[in-house]
Amino acid sequence: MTHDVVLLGDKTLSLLVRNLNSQLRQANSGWNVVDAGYDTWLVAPLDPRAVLFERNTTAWGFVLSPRVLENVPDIAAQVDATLARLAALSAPPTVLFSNLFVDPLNAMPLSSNLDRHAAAAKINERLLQFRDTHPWFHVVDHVSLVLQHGVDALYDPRFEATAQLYYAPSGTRLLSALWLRALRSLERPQRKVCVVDLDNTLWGGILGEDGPDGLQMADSGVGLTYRKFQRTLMELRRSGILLTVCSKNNYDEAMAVLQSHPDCLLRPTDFAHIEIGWGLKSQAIERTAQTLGLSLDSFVFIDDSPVERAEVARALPAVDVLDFPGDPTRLANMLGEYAGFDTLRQTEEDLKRADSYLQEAQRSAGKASAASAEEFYRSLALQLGIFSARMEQVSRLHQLLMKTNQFNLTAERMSAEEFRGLLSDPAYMVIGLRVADRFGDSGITGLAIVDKRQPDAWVVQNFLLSCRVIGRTVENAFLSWVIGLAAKAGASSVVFRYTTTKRNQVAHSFLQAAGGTALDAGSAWSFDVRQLSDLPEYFVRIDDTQVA
Amino acid sequence: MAIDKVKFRECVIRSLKLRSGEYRLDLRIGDVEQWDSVAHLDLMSEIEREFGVRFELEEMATLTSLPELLDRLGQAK
Repeated sequence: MTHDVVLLGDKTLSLLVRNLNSQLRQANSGWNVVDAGYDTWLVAPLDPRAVLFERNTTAWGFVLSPRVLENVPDIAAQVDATLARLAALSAPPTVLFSNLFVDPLNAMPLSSNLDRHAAAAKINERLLQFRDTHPWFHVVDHVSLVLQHGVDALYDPRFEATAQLYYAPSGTRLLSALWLRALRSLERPQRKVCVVDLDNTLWGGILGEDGPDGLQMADSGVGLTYRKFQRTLMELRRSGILLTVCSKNNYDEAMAVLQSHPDCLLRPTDFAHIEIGWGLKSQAIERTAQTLGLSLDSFVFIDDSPVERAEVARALPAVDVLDFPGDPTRLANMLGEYAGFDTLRQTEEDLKRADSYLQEAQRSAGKASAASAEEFYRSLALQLGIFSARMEQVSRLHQLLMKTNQFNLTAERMSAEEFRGLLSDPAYMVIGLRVADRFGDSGITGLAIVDKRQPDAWVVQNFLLSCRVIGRTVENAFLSWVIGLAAKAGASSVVFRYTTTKRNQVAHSFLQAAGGTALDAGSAWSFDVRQLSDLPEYFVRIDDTQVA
Repeated sequence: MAIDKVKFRECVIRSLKLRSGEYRLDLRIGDVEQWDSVAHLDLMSEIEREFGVRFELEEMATLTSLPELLDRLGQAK
């Protein structure tokens, strides 16, 4: 099933629409691009009969050229008015809005561009502020496109004169590649794990042959390319991508380099998991996936050896194996050109994810030394924040709904638009969960969607928790809280909908162990509110003051 | 200048997204549905890139058939 994204701009966009549609078809995308027509960005949103408001339209893309800075009187106010119009829509579509850059080709290049740059920067700042408070609004980075390629590569006055195109055909190809990545990032899950080899990948040289002193990752010469690559990996890590090592080496020798080589930027604690040994890399990656509790289709593998790449690609087709550049100076670029890690916005939880795996390792260490499970749970000082979902949290909650596979009672997905719709529907209660303990804050990691239309029997449409927070009685606390709330509201039972999937066995075991009664051949589990005191114990402090 | 006809053919087929059998040496704009005014601009740009020529603004509007295009490329130095 396809859904439409309507493009609006100040210039002709038909060439972009044509290129983009052909690229989207090739990529088997569900998006279909529709042209709103020449110079419609200001008027079309005001016209309820416009293609923007048709049923199949789920997204709008504003593709503005630098000409708006020259031709539209008071452009800043016009952008503001457009944003206000978007915010006032009862069910806003997903909106992609390009940031603005200045066309420097004008009569007074030494002076007048400076003011225009400042004006453009102010508008761009405004777009980012708006994005931060509106989860359905995304900024498409035209500024970086022009910084990378230059106006001369994007623009040609002949095409503007003949067809009102700002982006010449060759420039349109570059623009189209950017919008393709933006649109694709909205419809497919982001990859979460980057597995890297060590020799001739993380550093230049081979540890077993060149020795630790012969490795290249210093701040100059060939080493610089590897150092830059390490920096790029650090950046991935900070953005919430987990790094892991997969190397054929002697464990102690390679760990010594990671721990104490003076030129190595990445240290063992930067990696969520480390596999160093002599077995098959595909098996090492499978072990990594098991340890992290993530599926192989969220993995990316980087290795200089074509033999290792072929082995992993053959054994684990779900893993993305990157084409390693023949020229190591292109190593850092390789990640920027790869679209699997693409996302238009980062949630707070993305930024914390890499650290949370480290905290998990610390918790496991504590578990081993605790005398009993109870003592271990108490030692964690778990805190649960339960809140009614608000618009600011929608991107993260929707991300959870789309990504959680294991502790997910139904694994039913829904589009971002549908999910936002639930928030304003009085029949439903959308509840989010924050989990923290003394090792760190895991952020928003749980969600329940409760249907209260039958006052006597509440129906929990879905109930899910990130695999990072289960197994510490948080799930018990959340279950008790929901049933307790139903009891207070006068309901006599709570029914949890359940669908078996390939991967949610843990959720099934939970419902059973908690004392639920299976209904309709297990497609729902019922709890009587009188069972409340018999529900499994938990060692969690609950704060539900944020529940409306 | 001798024109690389194979390269020319590939360039036209690619820019206009022609299906097999649609390429003819006497093709002109409008003969096939894909060759509309938008695709025409793509074709101009691709021919420029592949053959290292640069068309004047006016030529872009007048070079609207393959014979005219080949003729123009033949005159290029």
